[in-house]
Amino acid sequence: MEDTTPVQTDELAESFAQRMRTNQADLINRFRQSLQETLFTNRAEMRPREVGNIAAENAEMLISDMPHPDLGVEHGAKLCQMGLSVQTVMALGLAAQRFILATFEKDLIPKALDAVGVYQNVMVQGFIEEREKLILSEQERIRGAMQIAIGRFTVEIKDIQAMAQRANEANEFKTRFIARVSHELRTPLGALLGMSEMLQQSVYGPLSPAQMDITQRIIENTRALERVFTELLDQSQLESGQLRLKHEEFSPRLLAHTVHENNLPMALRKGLTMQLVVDSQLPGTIFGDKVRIEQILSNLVINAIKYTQTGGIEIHINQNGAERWIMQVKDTGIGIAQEDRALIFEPFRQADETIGRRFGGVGLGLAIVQQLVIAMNGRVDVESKVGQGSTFSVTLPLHTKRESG
Amino acid sequence: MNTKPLALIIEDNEDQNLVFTNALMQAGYNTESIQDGATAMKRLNEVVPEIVILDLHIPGINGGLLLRQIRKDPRDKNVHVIIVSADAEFAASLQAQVDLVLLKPVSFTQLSLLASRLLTVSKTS
Repeated sequence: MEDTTPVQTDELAESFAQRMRTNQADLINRFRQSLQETLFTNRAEMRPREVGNIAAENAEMLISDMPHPDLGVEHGAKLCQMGLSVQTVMALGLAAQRFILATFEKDLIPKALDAVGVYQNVMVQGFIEEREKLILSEQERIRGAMQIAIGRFTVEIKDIQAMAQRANEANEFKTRFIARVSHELRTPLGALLGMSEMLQQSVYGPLSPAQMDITQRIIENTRALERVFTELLDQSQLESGQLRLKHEEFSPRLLAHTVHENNLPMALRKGLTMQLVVDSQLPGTIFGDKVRIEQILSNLVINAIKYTQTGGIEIHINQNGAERWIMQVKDTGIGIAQEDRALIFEPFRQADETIGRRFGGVGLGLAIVQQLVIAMNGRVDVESKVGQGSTFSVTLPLHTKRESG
Repeated sequence: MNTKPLALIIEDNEDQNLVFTNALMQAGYNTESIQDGATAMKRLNEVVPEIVILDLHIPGINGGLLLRQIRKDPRDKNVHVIIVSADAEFAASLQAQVDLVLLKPVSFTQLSLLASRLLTVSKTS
């Protein structure tokens, strides 16, 4: 990890200062040279040697000098009198000011300023060079660290890809397996259901009331078993993205009546009332996946019956604006605590783990509702008070015309 | 003598076949139960049934082929077909060629009711 820590500004400055100290002697020499070159190129100038000497003597002092505006005051007035601008004076360090004043002669000031300029250039150049060296070495270090990191990362990516591949295969296998099992179970289930119904219909002679009751219970348990297989298959198809929604014309009123009718016996047996109210404004037929929408409503109703011990269930089907319709299922059941609201839509979860044992079911009903509704571009809302009941609202887009694609 | 119309029950699972046969008997048909593809093919060539209850996965032949056989024979053009299958996808692909698709588990009561309705339709048309 330490390899890749970026260089901090403080560290950079400290390192630069260190290098500057080490290279100071070299810098002073380079500065002297520059000064001499600058000051002695033009032979026409007066007393150049004198200035050169002054410059050379001050060189060492200048090199460690930095611009120091506060100290500019000391010589500022004098320098300004000599024709330098206030900004220039402010930009010069104390040593530079002394150096310029030391030249005494007004006509040498430009030369002296040049000399200071050269000194500053040397400083700046030195700084740039040092910094570049530092940056290069830093880049090298970072590149090295990156290569190591990329190497490790590539290995990890390959591991992850292999894992994803295995997970995909396992998931595909699971989907195929569930489809197969569900398929294989449906035939014996069909025989079981059909034969119980034959008994109920007195195909083999009339049944006593007790025999009739038991037969009815066999039929209901068979249906419950069928629902479990259907839910497992649906969940597996939803997970693997294999579920395709149909777009067919159907009557929402008829659909609601069918669900109401199918589940009424179960509600009545628990001593619950079950009411259906369909909005008269709702169009006679609309478009959508009829089977899946019926499944959504049915799951909500079965759920409501399951978790309600006294009172009843109300089913409301309403148009909501021009573009939506709502299926609402209200119950007077146990309710759902605020913290469990998100949980109830998770596959294989029930709000209270003890509920599964008390009320049965694999905990897929609401998960399937949620996934189907989302696939239909709708939404599910829950309102609930613990001990008072819950209201599930499914809002779906209202398609009144056949849509292409 | 007014004989009852014939129903062929093509379903390899014996128990399922028993249920379907009883449902069709209750609906007012004479029934003949068939449990393999070869017999089904042979009987379809020999008789013109009123209705065929067709499972799609039966030994010896694909249910889709049997359906094609029925639809190809001009004598069979008025034959009603009800698919009874656990294979929702396969069944859905054949939906347009049949009267009804029922997914297993099929309700005895429902099948009996639907089959008797088809009989009424045939008589009135």
